[in-house]
Amino acid sequence: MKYRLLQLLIFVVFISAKAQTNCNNAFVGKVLDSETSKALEAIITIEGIANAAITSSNGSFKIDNLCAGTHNYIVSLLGYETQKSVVAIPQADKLVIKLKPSIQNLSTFTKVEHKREEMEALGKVTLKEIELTKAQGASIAEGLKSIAGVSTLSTGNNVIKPVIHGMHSNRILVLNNGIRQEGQNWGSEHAPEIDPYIATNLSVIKGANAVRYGSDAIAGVILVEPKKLSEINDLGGEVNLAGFSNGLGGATSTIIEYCNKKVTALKVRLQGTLRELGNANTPNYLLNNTGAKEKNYTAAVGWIKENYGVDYFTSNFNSEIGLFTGSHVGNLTDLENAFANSTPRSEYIGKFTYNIDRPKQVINHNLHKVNAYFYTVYAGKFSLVYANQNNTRSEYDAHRPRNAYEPVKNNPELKFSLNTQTLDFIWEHNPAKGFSGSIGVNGMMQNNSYTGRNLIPNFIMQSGGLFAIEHYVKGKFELELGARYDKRWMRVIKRNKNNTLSQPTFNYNVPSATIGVVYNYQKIIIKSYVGTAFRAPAINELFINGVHHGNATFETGDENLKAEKAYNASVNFIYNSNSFLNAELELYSNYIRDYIYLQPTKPAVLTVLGAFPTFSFKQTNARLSGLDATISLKFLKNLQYTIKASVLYARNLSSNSWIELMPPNRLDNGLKFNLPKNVVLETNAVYTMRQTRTNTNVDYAAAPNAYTLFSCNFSKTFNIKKTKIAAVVGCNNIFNTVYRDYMNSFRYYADDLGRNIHIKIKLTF
Amino acid sequence: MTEIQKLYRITTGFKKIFIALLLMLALTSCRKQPQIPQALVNEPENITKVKLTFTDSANASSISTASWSDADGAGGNAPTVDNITLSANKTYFTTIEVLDETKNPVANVSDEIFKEAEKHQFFFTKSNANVAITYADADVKGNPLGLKTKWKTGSNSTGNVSVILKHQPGTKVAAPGDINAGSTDIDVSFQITINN
Repeated sequence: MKYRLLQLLIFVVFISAKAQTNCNNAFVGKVLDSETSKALEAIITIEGIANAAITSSNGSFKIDNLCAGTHNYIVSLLGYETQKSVVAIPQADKLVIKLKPSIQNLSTFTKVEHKREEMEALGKVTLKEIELTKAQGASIAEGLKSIAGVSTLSTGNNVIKPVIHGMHSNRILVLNNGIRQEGQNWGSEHAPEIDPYIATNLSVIKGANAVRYGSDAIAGVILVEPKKLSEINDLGGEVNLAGFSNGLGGATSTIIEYCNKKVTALKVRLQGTLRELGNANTPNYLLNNTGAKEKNYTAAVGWIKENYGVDYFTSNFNSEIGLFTGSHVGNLTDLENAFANSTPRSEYIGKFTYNIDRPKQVINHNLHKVNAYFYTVYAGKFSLVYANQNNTRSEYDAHRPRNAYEPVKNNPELKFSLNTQTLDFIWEHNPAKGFSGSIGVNGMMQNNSYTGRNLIPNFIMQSGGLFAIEHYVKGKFELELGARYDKRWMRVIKRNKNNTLSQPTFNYNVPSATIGVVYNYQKIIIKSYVGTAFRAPAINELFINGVHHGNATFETGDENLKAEKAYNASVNFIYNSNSFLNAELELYSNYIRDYIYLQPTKPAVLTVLGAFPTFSFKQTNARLSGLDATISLKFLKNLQYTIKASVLYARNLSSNSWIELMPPNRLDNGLKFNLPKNVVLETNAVYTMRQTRTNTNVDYAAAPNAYTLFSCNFSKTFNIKKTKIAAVVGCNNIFNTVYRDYMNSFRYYADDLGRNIHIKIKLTF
Repeated sequence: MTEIQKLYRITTGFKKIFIALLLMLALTSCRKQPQIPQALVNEPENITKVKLTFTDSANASSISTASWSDADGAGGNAPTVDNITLSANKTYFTTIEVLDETKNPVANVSDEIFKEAEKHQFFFTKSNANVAITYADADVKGNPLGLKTKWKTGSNSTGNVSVILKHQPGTKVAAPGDINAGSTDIDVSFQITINN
């Protein structure tokens, strides 16, 4: 892209220079490192003339159409001292310029710092732009699904959580613009409260090798990154429009960014999203009360200088989500009736509306973040990030309470408010001799309270963590070492059954460590990680005590649970020929000591609603192992075939049985045609096998049958004047296949979604 | 000014911001105590008692009751359930009271059920007991409700009767009703003995 701009620039200069006389001279030369004589790719500019060149890989450059006379030229390269000199045109000889590596020069040095990509965890997979558009107008998890090893756990069509290697919720950290997202993420029906439109980068770090981001991430980390403020240089923006046939709805998101040429340090960005969908369709019937509404905004303002900067970011996420009426069950009999019917009862289907009725969820998440950083010559970069986030989740039962007096009649039956404050202080030392790294401290304070039904208690939590990561590159080898230590203190206030209060206090010490080695040999890359991570039990695992209405079970927590300890090992083989074959194979094994899971226990709990099967949180030793494979074949110049496979074995080692609710094997076949005029056609066939790795007599209904879903996407990018337009027309579940997803808890009640045609347009200006 | 001096100025400027941020956290971090949770009385409806009162149709002063009671709600202590004992070959007028005893004063849920009669229906299922149960009340549309019923006993027997309340907004149908419609609000089972 930069080359293109430069070519354009040179072209423009060429046009303007043409008018002058005797201006057909060339300035030619070569740029070398003064110490090693290595050829350098530097930038050569001529003073007084908007003319520039970049040297080719052998160090040589040529600037044409110079008028005769003396010219001042400047040669610069990041990490080298800038050289200014004079050349007489026409030249007698080809010029050899030797650049001196710079260490002391502050301005040059900080430029190096800025250019240097932030040190990234090994094994980070970032979604391609086309895959990112899949998330837009839908959910973050939907987009991430295209990464091998990532699947989803859903509660109906609106609540979708990402699953990495069979683990989800509290075992995954989600970082929203660098801040650990803290919602009621313990619940399987609580999806991440993030607008996919804010992300320009959506990535996953699989495995326990992300000590940088915090404890608990034994399955991995999801990074949602908006465009960097420092990249805003002008007035610009983006308009997104999306329309969906299923649910007859759409989404729109607008971004406006501004930077005044006179005050280049000041950067501003505003973004807003609206989304609304009506009741969704399965192939044979429409599901009542499955609409969704979303209103989100973010705002960012920053004072970004070369050596220091401060920025403020705020985001507000609001959603109202309908839950399929037929999914509300009062007791086990209702649930069994629902299984017995292949089609939900007629009163639960067939009515299209945008109105959202009970049962529903109303969620608000707001974040304020202040980030300050500066570079120093000798020490590197220091940054301090403070964030305050408030998560409010209101859950409405299917029926209004009968006995409530009018003013509270429309109140949610359950409302959680969670406030989280975090403070991070990070020092990234200057890269030197192949070493780069950082040391940091994280502090977190959390306060949770509820009103309504007693499900989890109020608590206050304080935690502090210390981490260090060092990355070393030498030739073909890369090595990463990381360690962190977290201390967590939590005080709980809970109401006992007899209305008295008790206040237990909990302390957890959670160490994590990781070692990663990468070996690059020509077209082959081998990456290997070994890591250990601890996860302190979540509030529901300790204290939940009540009926879980979604699946008619009575869940009980255990105050004496210990922290989970995960020992993770994985190895990736990557082959990139770029011409015909590209392949990646990941093998992983995650041994988890004291793995916390729900185990059916006896006796059933007798309530006024009848008997409920009891599930208690227990600990066992578990092993989750499997493989993710991706193979791409470029049959023709314009035709690429990609196959992705994911297999996972999750064993409860103590009882020698399967762990329930793990994603079944999946095979994703994709064909991509690059048609003329920037048109790309992608078709996918995703085959999901029946989950056979389950225990008998645990689940109410047998795991659903295998199914294949077909989808296609036509995309085209083009420009109208300065506006870049990307348009996508596509269809999911093309053949309206009837299926139920094992990982969707609504499989008990209804079929999954039918055909969905979508149109997405993105204008970038 | 040298680069170092410049940097020093920047650093000191930033130190102030750093300290301000730290103070911000310190100020908000004073509270070390979580908020005290609401008393249980503020919880949404929580049915703790289903009480059946039987009045002999031939003798209005012959009254017996049987309760299903779970004072601490779901979980905790197991509910206590009385046995129903009725005489053979008689007719009883039966009323159902539904109470939430966690509220102060005790909330009478059966009144609310009566107010929303067209959204509710009681159903009675029995096994091995010689008793015929018929509805003695109806909603505004004339469909059965079941807060009041007639129990006609037969010969001596022992068995079970389940009292089931279904919440059927918009889905309640004409007599005898549809036990599979809507969702369950109450599902309690009593042992019943019919003797002389």
